[in-house]
Amino acid sequence: MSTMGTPISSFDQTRYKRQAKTLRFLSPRRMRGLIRLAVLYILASLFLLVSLVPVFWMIKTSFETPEFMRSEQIQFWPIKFTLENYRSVLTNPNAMIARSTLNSIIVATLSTLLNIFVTASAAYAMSRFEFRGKFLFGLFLLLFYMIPGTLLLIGMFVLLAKMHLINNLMGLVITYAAGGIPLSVWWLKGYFDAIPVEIEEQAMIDGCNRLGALFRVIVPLALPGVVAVGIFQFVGAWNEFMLALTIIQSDYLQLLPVRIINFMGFQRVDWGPTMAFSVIVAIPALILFTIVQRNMVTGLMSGFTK
Amino acid sequence: MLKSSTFYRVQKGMLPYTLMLPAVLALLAFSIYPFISGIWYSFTSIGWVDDAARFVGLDNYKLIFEGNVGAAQIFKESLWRSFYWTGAAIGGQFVLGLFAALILNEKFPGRTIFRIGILVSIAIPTVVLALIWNWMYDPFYGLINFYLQKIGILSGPKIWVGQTNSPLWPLIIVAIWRGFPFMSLMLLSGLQGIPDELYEAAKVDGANVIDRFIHITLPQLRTIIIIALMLHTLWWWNHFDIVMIVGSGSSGFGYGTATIPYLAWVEAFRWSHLSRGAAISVIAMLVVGGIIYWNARRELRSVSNQ
Repeated sequence: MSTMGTPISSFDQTRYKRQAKTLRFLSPRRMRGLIRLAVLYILASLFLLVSLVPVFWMIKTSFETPEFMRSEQIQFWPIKFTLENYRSVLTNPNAMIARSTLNSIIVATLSTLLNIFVTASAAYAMSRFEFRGKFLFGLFLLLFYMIPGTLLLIGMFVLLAKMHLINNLMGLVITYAAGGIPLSVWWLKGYFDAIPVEIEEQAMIDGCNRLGALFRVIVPLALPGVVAVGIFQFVGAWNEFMLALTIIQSDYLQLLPVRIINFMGFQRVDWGPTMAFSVIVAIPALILFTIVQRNMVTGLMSGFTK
Repeated sequence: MLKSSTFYRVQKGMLPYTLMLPAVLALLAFSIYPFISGIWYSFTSIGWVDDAARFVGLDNYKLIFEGNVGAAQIFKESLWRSFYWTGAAIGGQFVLGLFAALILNEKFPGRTIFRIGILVSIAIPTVVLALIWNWMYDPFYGLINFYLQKIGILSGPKIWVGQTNSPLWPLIIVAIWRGFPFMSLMLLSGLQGIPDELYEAAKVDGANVIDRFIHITLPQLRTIIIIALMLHTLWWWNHFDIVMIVGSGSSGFGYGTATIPYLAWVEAFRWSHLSRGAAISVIAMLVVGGIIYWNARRELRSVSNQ
């Protein structure tokens, strides 16, 4: 106080405050702030609009009465609200929604568990040990991104055929679980790296062996990360299309994304039920993604930034 | 005592390998083997899974480059289309994504709502999203035709997608819409890592918004930009779902909009030419691998020169 600023008399101070009060609304600084906010809101709303219009359009269509679907009038709320489209998807035997939902849940769950089981221990080793071949392994995980999906699929398809796993849900489980390994390892390694080694060493001094330390200390600490990676893997399997389309051929075993396409057909599409079906498929993915969104970006890039 | 310590040292030396074993085995069996066998099949005569894979040298490659039947007829135009597809999609995604990231990096009340809104389009399954756009592109009752006619750009219904002579850019718009939110999240994570002091110092030196963007934001973002562009190039070069679902309408195969991965898939799994599909995929991999390698080398050199 004594070194900084010039002393102001109490009279000056009150006058200054009064003046400031009257001028505050018009002060250039405040105006600039308001303009900045306005511009930001306009631009951000524009982006929000661009992102949400298709989603909104899907939801609107799913609640629209079929007669009004093909009308000349277009508006963003149903002309006549109805649940008919949902009823028709849920009851139409051609949709087979119960069976394909079950297929999707089985494949997504099993492939996620398998993937996490295999990758968690590998990620832990990558994070805590120096060993021969570690660099090579890491390099492969990065190069894996460069292999076209179709090339892997062709090799995998012949392999699965030899194992009699074409048109079999287990074939998809294996393919998804293996395909997710590179991402999961890098991502989990990031989580393990963030847990200080000292905590582990302390547990080992306190009488745990390394495996005990792993399960009693590291796993609980890393659990949120493991869950995030698991959810990402699950949603990936839930949304995947090309492999599900190729490896499964019978209607009975199809997964949801392929089921929608077969249900709608391509000749004359009933958009109401198709969009209702789409909403049903999208909702679990939306909910689960919102949970992991915070970790997603760092997770996906972790292999490249280190 | 000596014995047990040796035992522990050996055990400790083995531990990382034991932990890595499941992941390594899974990768060998279900990633590396399919990958190598896929490359091998491109040099053989294999048509479908039961066929004997007889070595035929470069015949498949010759056929694709010089032949005049099947996929070979449209291979070259598909290759150029793939460049167009990837370049235009990534360009659009980058411009929109950077813009959105810069806006979302500003502090303003309600920012979280905008962030989550943009995330919604990431979470929607690609199949669902492709169907929504199919519906919006509908020539008679779709949203896009309706509004274009209303503002007077179109005089009558226009068929955008799904014809043999349909252009690619309506699909590219879908790809940009799909990809820009993720691009912006990556760039945003980079923006948040730039220390505020840099901007404060620049402000004191009298730099305006554009100066600060060019001299602080871009150089600081450099690494993230390179990683984001590299990842998106790989993803979108190999992209299948949108090309398949939006591009192939009632005509079945969507020749007019076929990119390389789609052509490889159709050749392998619709026309039962696994060998030619594999050869096309190998070419696709070499091309994108070359692009990535060339960029990575240039980047490494410019970093080491600094």
